Amino acid sequence: MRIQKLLLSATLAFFAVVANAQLDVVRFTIQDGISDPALKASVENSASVLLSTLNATVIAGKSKIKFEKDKEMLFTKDGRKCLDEMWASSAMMCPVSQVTEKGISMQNGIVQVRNIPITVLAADDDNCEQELVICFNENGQIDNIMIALEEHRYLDVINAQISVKDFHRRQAIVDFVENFRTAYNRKDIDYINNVFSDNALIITGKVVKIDKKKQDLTAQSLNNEQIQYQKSTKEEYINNLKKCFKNNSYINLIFDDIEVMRHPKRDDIFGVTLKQHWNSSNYSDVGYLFLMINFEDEQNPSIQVRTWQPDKYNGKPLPRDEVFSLDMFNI
Amino acid sequence: MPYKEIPLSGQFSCSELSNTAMFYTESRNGAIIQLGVRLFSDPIRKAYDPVIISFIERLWAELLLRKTIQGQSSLLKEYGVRIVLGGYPLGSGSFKKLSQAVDLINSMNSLTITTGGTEIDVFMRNANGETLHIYIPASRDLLFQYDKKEHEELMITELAETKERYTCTAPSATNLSATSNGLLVSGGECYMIDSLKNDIFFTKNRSVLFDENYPEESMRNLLMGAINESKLEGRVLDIRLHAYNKDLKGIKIPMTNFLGYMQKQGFKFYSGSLGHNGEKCQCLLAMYHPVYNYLHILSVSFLPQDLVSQKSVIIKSDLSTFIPQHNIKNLFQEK
Repeated sequence: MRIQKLLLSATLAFFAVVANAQLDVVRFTIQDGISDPALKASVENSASVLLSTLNATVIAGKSKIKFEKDKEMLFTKDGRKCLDEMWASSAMMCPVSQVTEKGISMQNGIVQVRNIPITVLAADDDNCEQELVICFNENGQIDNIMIALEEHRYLDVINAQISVKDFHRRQAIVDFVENFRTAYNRKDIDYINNVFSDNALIITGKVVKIDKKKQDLTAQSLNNEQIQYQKSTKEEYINNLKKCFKNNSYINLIFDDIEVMRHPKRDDIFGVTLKQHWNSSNYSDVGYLFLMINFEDEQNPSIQVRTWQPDKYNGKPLPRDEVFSLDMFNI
Repeated sequence: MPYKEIPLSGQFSCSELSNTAMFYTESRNGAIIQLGVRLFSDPIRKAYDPVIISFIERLWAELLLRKTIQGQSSLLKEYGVRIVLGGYPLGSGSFKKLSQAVDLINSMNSLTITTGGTEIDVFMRNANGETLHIYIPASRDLLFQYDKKEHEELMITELAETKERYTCTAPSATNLSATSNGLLVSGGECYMIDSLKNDIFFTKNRSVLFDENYPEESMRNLLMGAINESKLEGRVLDIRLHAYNKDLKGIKIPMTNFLGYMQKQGFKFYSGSLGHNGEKCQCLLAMYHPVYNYLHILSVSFLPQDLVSQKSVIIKSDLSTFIPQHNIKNLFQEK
C-alpha cells in the first residue's frame, strides 16, 4: 500500500510539473432538484471551487487548504472547520473533471448533494475510493462535508490502531447513553435518579436578551443575546424533571452526533458530547449535551457532570469550541 | 374512537379520520403491538421488510392525526423522515396534501426499498412515471415500535425459547493470507477498527482451524459460524446481561441456540480478541445489523481446553444489546 502511495505522490508531482493548469479543475453541475436559479448557481460554484481546490492542493503537495480571500465566503464557519478536520485526517481529491448530480432539498432550506467521487489518499486500497456529501445552507454556502458511508466504515480508514478492548468499552458508553435517553422517553425518574452521582455538577445554559438601553452604542450594534449558565444540584434537577414529566404527556428525546472521549489519564472516565433534540407535548428545543461518565463500576456507571447548551444564539450556531467537552474539566 | 372499541387484530375504519383511512392492528399475546393505516397490500407486506412497511403505516396514522400540513411537517422533521413526491418534499411545490402520496401508493407499479446506509429509501413509481420517495433514518429506535427496554426484554424471552440451531457456513479456503503465527486467514472486512474483522482462520493445510493450541482463533471461527455444529455440543453460554432493566436476569443458553438465533436475524458478524484474563482467553463477537443500524456485543471468557472438552462446559459471557450506531459521530475522539 505504501508503495502505491509513493507512486501516487510521484505521479502527482510529475503532473505538477508537466500538466497544464486545467488538470485540477472540476466542474460541478446540478441536474435537477433545485428550482431557485440563484441558489443552483451558488451551489454549483461552491462545489466546483471546493473540488478544484482539493485537487490543486494535492497536486501542489501542500499540507493545508487555502482559498483566495473571496472564495472563503463560499463556506460557513462550520463548513470551513469541517473541511479542515477532514483534511487533517487525510488529503483527498476528485478524480473526475465533470460531476453532475441532483440536489436534495432538506429541512430549513438546506440542500445536499451526494455521490461525488473522491479519492481518500490516507486510506488503504479497499477504502480509498469514496463518495462525498456536501451540505449547503440557503445561500449556497458549504455548511457541512461528509464521507457518504456509514461512520463505522469511515472510521475504518482512520482508526487502525485501536484495540478491541477499547472498542468494547466505548460501545458500552454508547449503550449507557442510549439507556439514559430511553429513561427520559419512558419518564423513568428512578432510573435517571440512580445514574446521576449524588454530587453531580449540573449546568444548564439559557439564551437571554441583553437590555440594549443599558449598553453603550458600540455594544448595541453588536449581538443582543448571550448564554447564561445556571448551576443546579442533583436534587433540584430531579425535582424540575419530575414536574416536566408530569406536564408533558409525550417526550421524545433524540441524540445525534455522539462523540466519545476518554480521559487522557483516567481509563474509567469518559466524556460524551452530543446533539440533543428535545421534543415534547409542550416544548421542543435543540442543544448540545455533555456528560462526564464515571465507568469505574461497569455495572453501574454514574454521571458526574451534565451540561446543556443551546445550539444557537444570536441567530448563529454555537461555535464548536464553546461546546463543553471533557478537556474543559479538571479531574 | 373509544379505546375499548379498537379490535385486537384485523382491520377497521376510523370515522374520526378521513373516510379513506383504513386502520388495522396487529396483536401479540392479547396486546396491541401495532396500530396503523393500511397502505400496502398483503403481497407487499409479505414480500418486503415488515419492519419498514409497518413503520410507514404507523407513521401514516400519526400524520393523519395531525390535521394540518404544518403539524405533519413538524412530525416528519422530528423523526427525520422526508416524503418526496415528484421531487418535492411534503408541503412544497405541487405536493400540497398527504393524500396525493396515498394516490401514488394506490397506483404504484413498482416498489424498491434500498437499505444498508444511514438512510432507507422507499421508492415507488406508477405507470405515469410519477415517483414517491420516503426517506427514513436507519435507526432501530425509530423503525421499531419497541423502545430499548422493551426490545431487550422481548429478545431475552425469545432467546430463552428459541429452538434455532447454529448453521455452519462452510467457508472456502480461497484468497487466504498468512498471519504472524503461521496460520492462514480469509475475510478481512473490518468493523470500525482493524482488529475487529470477519476473519476465518485456516491451518497450513487449508482446513478450518479448530485447535486448543490456537484458542482465540478457534473460538473466533466458532463464533463466526465456520465450525461444524458438533463442536458446540455441550457448550452452554452463561450470559450476564447489560440491559436497561437491571432486574432482568441473565440466561443460560446452549451456544448452538444462541448463535443460531443471531444468525437468523440478518446480522453481519465480526470477531476480535480481547486478550487474556489469567488463564482464560477472551473473545468478542460484534453482531451488526446493517438495516436497522444497531449492534449486539457478546464477549466470552474460556479456557483453551473448553474448546475440545468432551464434558459439558459453561462459558461465562457478557451481552450488550441494541447499541445504536446511526448517531455516532466519533467513537474515538481524542484531543
